[in-house]
Order: sequence, then C-alpha cells, then structure tokens
Amino acid sequence: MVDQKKGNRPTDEELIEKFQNGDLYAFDLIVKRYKNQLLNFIYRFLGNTEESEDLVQETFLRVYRNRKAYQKVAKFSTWIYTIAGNLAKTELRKRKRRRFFSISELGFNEKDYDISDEAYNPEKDVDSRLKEAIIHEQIMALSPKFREVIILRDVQQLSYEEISEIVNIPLGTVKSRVNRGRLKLQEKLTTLLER
Amino acid sequence: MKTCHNFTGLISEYVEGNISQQDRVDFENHLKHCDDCYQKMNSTRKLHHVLRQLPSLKVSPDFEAILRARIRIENKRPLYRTTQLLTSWKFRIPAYSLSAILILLVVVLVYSKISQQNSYTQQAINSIERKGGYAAEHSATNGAITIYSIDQKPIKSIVSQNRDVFMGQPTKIHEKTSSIDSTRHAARQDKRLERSQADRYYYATSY
Ligand SMILES: [Zn+2]
Repeated sequence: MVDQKKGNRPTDEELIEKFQNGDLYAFDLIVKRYKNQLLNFIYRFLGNTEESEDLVQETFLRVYRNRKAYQKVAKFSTWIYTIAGNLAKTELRKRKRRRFFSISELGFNEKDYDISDEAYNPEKDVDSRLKEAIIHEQIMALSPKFREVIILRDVQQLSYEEISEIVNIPLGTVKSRVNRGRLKLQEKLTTLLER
Repeated sequence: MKTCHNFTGLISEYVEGNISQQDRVDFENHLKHCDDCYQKMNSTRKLHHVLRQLPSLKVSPDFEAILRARIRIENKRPLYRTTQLLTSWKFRIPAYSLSAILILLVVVLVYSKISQQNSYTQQAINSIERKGGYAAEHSATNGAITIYSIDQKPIKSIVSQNRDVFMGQPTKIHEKTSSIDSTRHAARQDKRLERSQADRYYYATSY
C-alpha cells in the first residue's frame, strides 16, 4: 500500500463521476475519504458531539440522493463542504429558536467521541488537554461567520479559494475575515499562547 | 505612511508566508519598533500552529454500516417496514418486551378463538388493524387495549369500552382513548432499530 503511486489514487471528481454512472464502490470511497474530515468540521462548528455525526450522515445521504446535481465545474470538496455547512447552519438556527444553549452545548463533553490515539493518549498531559478545551471553547465563542472560516482555514486547512466557494463570499472577504477571526481568537487566548 | 491598523491587516498573510516582498519589508521594519503589532503577529503565528494541532475526531465504528442501512431504507421503503419488524423481533427487542409480545400474540389468538363471546374486543382489534395499526394488547382486568403502530410504537391506549347492548349482543363500541407519549421511547427504539438494520446489512455486498 505504501508504494502505491500517487497517480493511482482517483481524484474526488473521478469518484463522483463513477458514482454518477452507478458505481457504488466509488461512493464508499468518497465516504471513507470525507467522514472524519466532515465530522471535525461540523463538530468544531456546532461544538456539540451528539448531532455532529448525524449531520455527517445526513450530508452523505444528500450526496447520494443528489449525485446528479453535482456538476464537474465545481470541485467536489467545495460541494460536499457546502452541503455540510448548510446543514450545520440550519441546525444552529433551529437551536437558537429552541433557545437550546446550555453549558454542555459549548463543548465540554468532547470525550463522547472516539478521539484518535495520537490525540488522546494517556501520556498526554492534563495541561494540554485543558489547553485544547479552552481553545475549543473560544472557537465556539466566535460568531458563526468567523467561526466557519477559521475552522475551514486553520483546522481543516482548506485553501482560500475553496473557502470562498463554500461560504460563497469573494476571495478578498474570506482573507480579511480569516485575519480578523484570528485576531479575535488570539486576543482571547493571549495568556495561553504566551506559554 | 502605513498605520498599525494597516499592518494588522497583513498579519495573516505574513504568518502564512503569502505576503508580497514589499509588504514584508515594510511590516518587518514596523515590527522592530511596535510591540503591539509584534505581540499580535507572534500570538497569531502560535494560534495558527495550535489550531492545526487540535485533536481530530473519528466517526463511530459503525458509521458506514448505519449509512448503508439508511440508504437501503431510502431505496426500499416498503421492504423496510417488514424487515424492521423482523429484525426488531429477532434481534433487538429486550427480553421483557419479547415476552410482552408473546403474551400479546397469545391474547390475540385466544380472542380470535373466543371472538363470539368477546366480539366487541375482536371488533375493536379489527378496526384498529383496518386503520393501519399493527397490534393490540388486551388486559383482561380493566379491558384496556394498547394499539401499536406498524413499527411497534405504542400509539394509544383504549382505557375503557362501553357497549350498547341489545339482547346481550354488542351493537356499538365507544372507545375512550388516551394517547401515549411515545416520542422518547420511539426515538430510542429507532436508534436501536437502525443499528440492528446496520448489523444486518453491513454484510450485504450491495445497497
Ligand atoms: Zn503597530
């Protein structure tokens, strides 16, 4: 597996095209490729563990259902992130209507999740876990418009061009929004970042 | 002359190394004698690094199996109803509800046998089934009947029945019903069913 040539790995766009032509295995590969990425995106955006996985499921169901709607002109990643982002934003609006916010919504219970080994190994000190919790909390404290771009850029490491398509705002606006979001965040985290 | 405000706008570009040569020189000159901008730039740089290091979550191990099941359900809705009954009966119903269902079956059988004596009960059950309900449970002590939907959620309970009796034969049944708040129960049940479905289909090769 290690010596698999880079060129052999089908692109997302090739996979979705195969899937559009009825290849269900291609859909499986898409799911494998994106499931954790999308979970992290939605989880960091909603801050809540329970709905996040459901929304990732819903995202894939929509990809499955609306596969014909995908057009080659767009990058597949931006398409699927747009779907996931819209679902997450809808969820956020629903919550607001329900006045649903509580302490637990702010993401203190992330242990509900199966966190990867390197992230939560027992040797990892309490200090760094606390640090992570504080960072997560402060990401959640950002307004959704800043939060979204910060997660996409700094956590998910997508390009500005991709983010511009996903969020549907001009490239320049994405850049300045990311910059402003970072400045807000570093202000809240000054003491933590100085250590 | 650029102000601090102008320079803060360049911080991200600088940190990410996507800044133009001229801007970089200007900014670095400014940083030499502006502690405020230096501090902001420095902690943004650390932030940028720290955010990349955040632990990444993984979906639960049965994520794909559940997804397959949900897709299958979407593709074949009528099949879903039947298999849902089968799977839940076969695999996931806890012992107490299994025995409840067995008792229920016996009760239904008994009532169909002695329907002449208890035709009002049979009549009620028949009418429930005509309405698309799935099964009824009859408690001999108080005459209560619980109606289940096709997917086994208790819908309502008939707590008493009054008969208009003419010459010893029932002519009309008045149902006094009370609905059961089954939302929580149903949600739990759904989750379990989904998982059992998932177990079932995980080994199937196609959707
Ligand atoms: Zn300055």
